Amino acid sequence: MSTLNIKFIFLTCFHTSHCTSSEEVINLRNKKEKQSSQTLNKILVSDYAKCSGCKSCEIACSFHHFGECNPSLARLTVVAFNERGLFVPEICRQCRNPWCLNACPVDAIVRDAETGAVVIIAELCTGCRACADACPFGMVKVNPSGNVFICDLCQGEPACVKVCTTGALKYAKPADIYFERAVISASKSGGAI
Amino acid sequence: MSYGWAGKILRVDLTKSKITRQTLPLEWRTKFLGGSGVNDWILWNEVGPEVEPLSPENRLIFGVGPLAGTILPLGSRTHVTTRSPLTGIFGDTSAGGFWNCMLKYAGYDHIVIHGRAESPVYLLIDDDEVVIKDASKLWGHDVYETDSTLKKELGRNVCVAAIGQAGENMVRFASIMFDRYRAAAKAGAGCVMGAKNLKAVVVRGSKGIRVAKPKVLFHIAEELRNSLDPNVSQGIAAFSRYGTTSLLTLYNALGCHSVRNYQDVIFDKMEDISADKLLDKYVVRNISCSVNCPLNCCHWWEIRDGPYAGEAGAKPEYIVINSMGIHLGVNNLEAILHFQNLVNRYGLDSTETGTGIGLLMELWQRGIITENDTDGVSYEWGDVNVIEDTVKKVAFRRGIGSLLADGTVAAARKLARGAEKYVCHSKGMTEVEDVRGFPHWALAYSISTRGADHLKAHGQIDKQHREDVSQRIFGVPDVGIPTSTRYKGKGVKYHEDLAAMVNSLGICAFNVISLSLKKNPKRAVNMPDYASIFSAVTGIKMSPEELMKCAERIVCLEKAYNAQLGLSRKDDTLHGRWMDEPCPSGLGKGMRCADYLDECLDEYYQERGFDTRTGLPKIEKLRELELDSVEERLTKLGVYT
Repeated sequence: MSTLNIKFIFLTCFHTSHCTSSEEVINLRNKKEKQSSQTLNKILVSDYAKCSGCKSCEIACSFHHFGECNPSLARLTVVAFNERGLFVPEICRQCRNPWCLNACPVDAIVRDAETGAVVIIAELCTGCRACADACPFGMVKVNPSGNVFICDLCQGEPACVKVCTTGALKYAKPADIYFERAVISASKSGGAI
Repeated sequence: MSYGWAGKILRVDLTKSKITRQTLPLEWRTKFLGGSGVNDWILWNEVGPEVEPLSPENRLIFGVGPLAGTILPLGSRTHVTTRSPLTGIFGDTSAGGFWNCMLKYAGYDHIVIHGRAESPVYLLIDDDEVVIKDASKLWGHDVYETDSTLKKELGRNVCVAAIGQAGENMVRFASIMFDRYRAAAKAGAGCVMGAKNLKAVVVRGSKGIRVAKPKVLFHIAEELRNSLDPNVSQGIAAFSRYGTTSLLTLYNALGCHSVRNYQDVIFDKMEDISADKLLDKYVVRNISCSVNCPLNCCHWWEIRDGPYAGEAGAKPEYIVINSMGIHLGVNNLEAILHFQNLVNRYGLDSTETGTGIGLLMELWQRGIITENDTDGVSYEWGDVNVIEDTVKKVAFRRGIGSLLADGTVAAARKLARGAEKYVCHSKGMTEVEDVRGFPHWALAYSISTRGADHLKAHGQIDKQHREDVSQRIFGVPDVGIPTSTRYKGKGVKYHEDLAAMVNSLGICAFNVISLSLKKNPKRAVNMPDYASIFSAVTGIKMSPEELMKCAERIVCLEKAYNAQLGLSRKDDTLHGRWMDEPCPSGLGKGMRCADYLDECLDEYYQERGFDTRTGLPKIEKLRELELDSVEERLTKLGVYT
């Protein structure tokens, strides 16, 4: 029920900028902050060793959020090192202690209770870009009209993961993800003997 | 609002340093789709028979189709069209890479380069900002160096299309290299770029591509992705693992390699250069050559020790392993990988480079040329040092390299002494897959508008014995029977149209072929199915029949381009031992193209609605395809008298 409410508020924020009273938004923020200590269910991780560099994820991301195919509007970036045949997907890490959240002077950045994603409350955002400057991963993006946006994990169903056929992007429980990494590492050393 | 297409053509006049923008006319979109189709139309309108390939008036036309850069998992390609300095006729070539989508994201579907710059320049496109910049510091540097230098200066998020020294020195089969490793190598497009003093075209784009029906397209894309997911389909997994190197084993079983300059069709030392050896020993990971492709058929390889230690690169494609390996009797895989990098760096077409060296090696073997002809070097089969040395000489037009730099056919003519009969070609372009036992391919090479070529009517139905697919598409199994000459005209027409459609939509033939060969008929995607995809992307309603008519129109336009230069049925043929020397082994043992080519050509022309005597489109055909200006010009030139 709470998610539905949040979604509703977000939608109204997006479409008609003044229909939500600031009181409501502040309530929303307080509610979310209280829940920020919850444990994370799933996390989004990238593994450059598996990335083919096809940029499907970037296109899927911009398509999902903005309805257009435009990697420069994607909330993740595949950095190509062509000369080494290497493609590194940089994603928002949804930090436990987020640089962007801490940097925001108007407290417009909060953590979504449901997904654990760090989200920007559009209604409160002044577009000062302090969050973008603070993020050491370059994952707070700014579009040509000056709006900032961060990966919101697509409400728990990341569009980028759905189109990744190589397994370079995964959205799963941390334990499972790092267990798989351990298996790969083990098979290279102990398991191969 | 333009859906699918970015909507603009960028025109750059290098002589006047003038940049203009033109809206991509709606009529062109519906008649020629985009990509290579619109390129062809621009070439037809602006490069008449009087324009010499290396003159400033020739155009160098880049084009990307409407489906490239969207959410469709079909890859993306750039097409470059020009009047070819290698063959003197219609020339086009294509490459993967990320450059193509960047161009669309910058807001352009096509770039038309006119004129010639006074000194070396490069073109920088940064969304709406387009500047011609000085490239004197880049001139003389190879493709990899140029790419690195430009990225260092402009940032990692630019995409670079550049020529190497071969293009600068106007080697007639110089390539344009996109994103370092993706070669638009055919037809000497890099030579035209060099003649225009244009070192590179650098693109950065931040605009998006919108699609007309996002929801519909999302579902289509999802379905296609499922069909092309290597994790789901075994066939796709195999292609994803091997890429075109899977053909090494297949072609050895069938007998269609070109071994030691077409002297054999089965390579006796295949285990030394096998795909499994390549994958197990050198390939680090599979990468994607273009945007939004789930196949990832490109290999990233690294050599860790030995004489080539430290070298790394992308691909090699089957054709490179053939032309720089099997064709020259080389069984040293590391050397072949090194040659791949070498031709990439200099910006050379590996096929024409390989056939040139192959010609010298065979003439040497037969004692027709001696040290007096070859700068004192002996041209023994498989000598990797000689090959490396010759590649360099070609790129810089030094010594015997200047002989080969005008193309293999031209080199043979200059050498005389009966050398020409050792060159297998059509319309002045060489190829390295042997076609004698495979009528589909023999016919496809003969009728190809840019000269002998395996991609202009590319299909794998016959070589993979897919009688089921043949039955499904043509109602007869024969197109799927490799050595049969029956219905090959039908098959070639279909695949030629298919290639024209694929190239005009801006997607990759491998994805399309993979989808058409699906064993489950429900999963198979054939030519007519692209009509609904096209409509969902562009919002322009197009029936399957209309789409296929567009493809046919594009093919006929290319034929007409050559017809105005005097080409006709007499040119739709093959030369060299493919014609009159029986195939020495394999499935087609004993077959010669001369025995069956005419019969296949007759059927092909009939299928096309062409005059079987001239091999040209009948006037009624041109009218049916609404090619009025083509009819007008060809009539004026007396082609129909």
